[in-house]
Amino acid sequence: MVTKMVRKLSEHTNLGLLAVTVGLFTVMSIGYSHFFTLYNMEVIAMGFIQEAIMALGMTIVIISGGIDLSIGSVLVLSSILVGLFLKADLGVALSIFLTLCISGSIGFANAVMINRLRAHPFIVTLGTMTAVRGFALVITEGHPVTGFPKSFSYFGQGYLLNIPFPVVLFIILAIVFHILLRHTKYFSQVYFIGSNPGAARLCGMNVERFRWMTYIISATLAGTAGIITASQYISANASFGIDAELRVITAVIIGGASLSGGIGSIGRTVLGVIFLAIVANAMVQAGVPTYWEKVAYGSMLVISVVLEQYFRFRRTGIKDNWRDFMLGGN
Amino acid sequence: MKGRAKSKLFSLVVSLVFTFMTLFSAASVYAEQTYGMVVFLKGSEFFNWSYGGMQDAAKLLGADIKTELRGPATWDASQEARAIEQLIAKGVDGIIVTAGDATTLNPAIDKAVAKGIPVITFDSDAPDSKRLSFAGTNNYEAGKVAGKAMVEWLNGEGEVGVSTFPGPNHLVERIRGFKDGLEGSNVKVVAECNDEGKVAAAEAAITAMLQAHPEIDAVFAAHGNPGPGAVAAVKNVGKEGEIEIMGFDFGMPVVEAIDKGQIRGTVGQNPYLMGYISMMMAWGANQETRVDGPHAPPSVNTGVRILTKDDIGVYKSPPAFVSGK
Amino acid sequence: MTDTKRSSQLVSAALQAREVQLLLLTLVVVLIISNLTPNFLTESNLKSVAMGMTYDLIVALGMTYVLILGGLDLSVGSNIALTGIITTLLMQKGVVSVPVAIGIGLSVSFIIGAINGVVIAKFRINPFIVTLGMMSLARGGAMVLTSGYFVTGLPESFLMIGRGEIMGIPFPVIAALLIVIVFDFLLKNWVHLNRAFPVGADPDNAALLGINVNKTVVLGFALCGLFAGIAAIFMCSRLAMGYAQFGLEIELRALGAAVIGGATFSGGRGSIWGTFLGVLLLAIINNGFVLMDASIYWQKVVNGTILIIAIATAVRHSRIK
Repeated sequence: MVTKMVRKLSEHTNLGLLAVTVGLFTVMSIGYSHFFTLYNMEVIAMGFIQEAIMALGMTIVIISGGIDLSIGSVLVLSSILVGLFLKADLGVALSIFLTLCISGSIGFANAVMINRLRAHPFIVTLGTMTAVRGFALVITEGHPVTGFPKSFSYFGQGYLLNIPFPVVLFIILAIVFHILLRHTKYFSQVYFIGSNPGAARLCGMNVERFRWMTYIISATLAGTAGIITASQYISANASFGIDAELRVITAVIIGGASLSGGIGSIGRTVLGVIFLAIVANAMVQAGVPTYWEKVAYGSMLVISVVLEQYFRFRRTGIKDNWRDFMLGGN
Repeated sequence: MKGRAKSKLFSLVVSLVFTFMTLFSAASVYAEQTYGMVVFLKGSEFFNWSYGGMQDAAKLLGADIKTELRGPATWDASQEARAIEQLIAKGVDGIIVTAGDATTLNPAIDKAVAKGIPVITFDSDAPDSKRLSFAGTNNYEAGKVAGKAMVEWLNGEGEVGVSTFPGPNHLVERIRGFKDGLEGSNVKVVAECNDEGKVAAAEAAITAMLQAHPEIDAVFAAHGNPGPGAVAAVKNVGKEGEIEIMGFDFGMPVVEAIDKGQIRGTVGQNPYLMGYISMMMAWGANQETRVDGPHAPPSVNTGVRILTKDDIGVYKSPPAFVSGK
Repeated sequence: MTDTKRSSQLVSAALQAREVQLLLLTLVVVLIISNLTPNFLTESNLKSVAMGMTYDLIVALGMTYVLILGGLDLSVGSNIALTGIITTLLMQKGVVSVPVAIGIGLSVSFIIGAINGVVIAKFRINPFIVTLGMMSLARGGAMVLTSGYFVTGLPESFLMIGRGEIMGIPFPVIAALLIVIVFDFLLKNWVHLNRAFPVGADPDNAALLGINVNKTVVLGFALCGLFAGIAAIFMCSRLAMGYAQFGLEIELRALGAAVIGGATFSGGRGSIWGTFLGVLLLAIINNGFVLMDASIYWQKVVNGTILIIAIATAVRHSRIK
């Protein structure tokens, strides 16, 4: 019975990571009196909320065999735009709507360029990442955007049922995307397309059209994260979201998705996000010397993928083909 | 079966993580008070001076006072705010912070104050927050002092190129102050170049600026990094000794260049004193006193002066970095 | 008749070569900039452009090689920081002599690259992830070693490497050009390096042909690391310091330049001279930006746009082929 449960659980999540996360959580709760408090739980959740929201979109992109480096830049642009729209008295609803539209269209542009130019998503989104962040600098000339209406602060600072609104939003989004990926025909195509785009095309799936969808979702979620950041700090600054894409990708990969495409799930990503959020907090709680933080993140990423790959090999006895894991795979 | 092998290995990992954390934290469990410093750019020599000052003050105040340094490794205003929030959750007894972007940090600072944690800003202020006090040099004022010194160097007439990079508020303020300091003389800023905030990129950027404006008589390196790049750039255009260079802060490369006479002077703030005084004020706010009310001044000016070859000697040995106590 | 026809065919074939297109584009940019500002074509400006692009160039060569293999290396910038710091620390403390310190530094950079390669090849993990991890690790290592302090007080003989000149041309520029020429020649003619092309184009097929793919990949990444190490030595020497923040974002510039030069992410393609021209083009445009007093805020927008245009033109080129 237990083994059956374990097997069932392992379909939905990354058991090893779950064990480490629970272990870390327990150790921290016992060792540090300030760790297991309601307030700290909130700080843990809010301390990684931008990345968490963006990780949902990144999961879909990575399962589909792509990658989106432009999300950090979309985040900063959207936080600035929503600020400017609000200051132009467009009203909260319209400002958010416009910002999300513009964010989504950046994702659309990414997908169109990947499709049309037959270029690797890495290099295309690297281009948009640079250009969009540059654009954010051009608009603000380095000055922060401030002076938002009070009503706007709800999205980043408000509470729903005693839970911070961004966290509620994240939970809803995670459930929605989980259901979409697991239980709808259209979205579950992503696994097939990601593991073998050629075959998917032969089966009559419109891979190009599907790519529009994945990158629009990714960019729109980045836009959402930007709006929340702007609301959280009641200001927007051209420095927001630097290297956020790297943290997001780390969370998705530690969760157990594979950059070769076809592998990954919302559940695993959520776990990866929770793990990194706890680690970030644990390092401060435990007083890990500040300069060791980067070393720790780097080793966690490498160790987690090496272990993952080692067990996959042990389990199946099959090594990946070169084509499947080098970048040229797609 | 695979599950068993997996969990065996991961219990190993968990215990490793545990050892790792206990190793670093053995002291923290028993420490009675912890004070955190938050900077917007970790790994800057300038803030190491401040942290050194903070640690020296903490040592003076008692053996049971622990300090720690936090902040993002690349500048992101929202990441700095997060660092403050993590320290609040840890329950530190005081936070000393340099505000990379004041508006973004205000909510986090106010949250700390609401939790009863005294917050002192240093170097870059967050005047609209509920912070207890500010220790440092107003960046605008520092820029102004630099501007006035520049007028003196150039005998009231000449053209200046500025090396900076887009983004941080304190640089915007510094350069505004610098330009105001030139007011009333015939010295003016004719060009600004983007050194990307990097030591390595400064040389090419400043050389190009000196090319475009051969009339430039002096370079103002508006932050710590471009100073050595300006030295190399002046050499590139063959105008050593003709173009005056004013650096900012006293990072070792700038100190060495001043010692060799390649940079005429640098705008010396007092980061050590900033950290020292901030620590004193944060600690003081936690002490019982015989009167109620605020015991810290709204701000403390730690002064600024132009350091030249004659008085740079002290700065040749920055305080050794020790991560905590 | 046939002669003119053939020569026109030759000309059009030459025009289709990425390098020729790039060269023409670079010349056009040079013409435009030098017309707009008289300060471009001066000896000292050209010298500073050459000096400014040296580090990017050396790193981009290694990146091109890894791209040919079908991978990429995000850790080169951190490699520069860590290598530079180890080298300068050894010299500052006077532990070993200058040449030995440089030797140790270069070995470190080589080993960092080799570790990337081994993890990638042995565990078959995507190079993006492995080198992303190494990027954090090496940068973290550099920070732990220095706690953010500059490493200065280096011996004069070391500083001469970056500051010395032959006939008015700085050492690093000459060295970089030599490396480009030698590396281009070896890549085309030396079988051990040339293997990268079949491996990158189709690794499984290459394995069938009897090529040791594992070894080629490991050596390729190690080589990329070594190039980063060489750049680090020049950078530390020229700037007279080691610093944990050296090489930030250089991996992105190197990737951009290599792609502009004709390398692709699908592997098997890439050209050393193309990369050289890519680095040159970016350096000239950035230099023109400062010379013409364009707003510093626009620089990033332009760089991003160039990259996208480069990808677009690269595709047209491959379709013609």
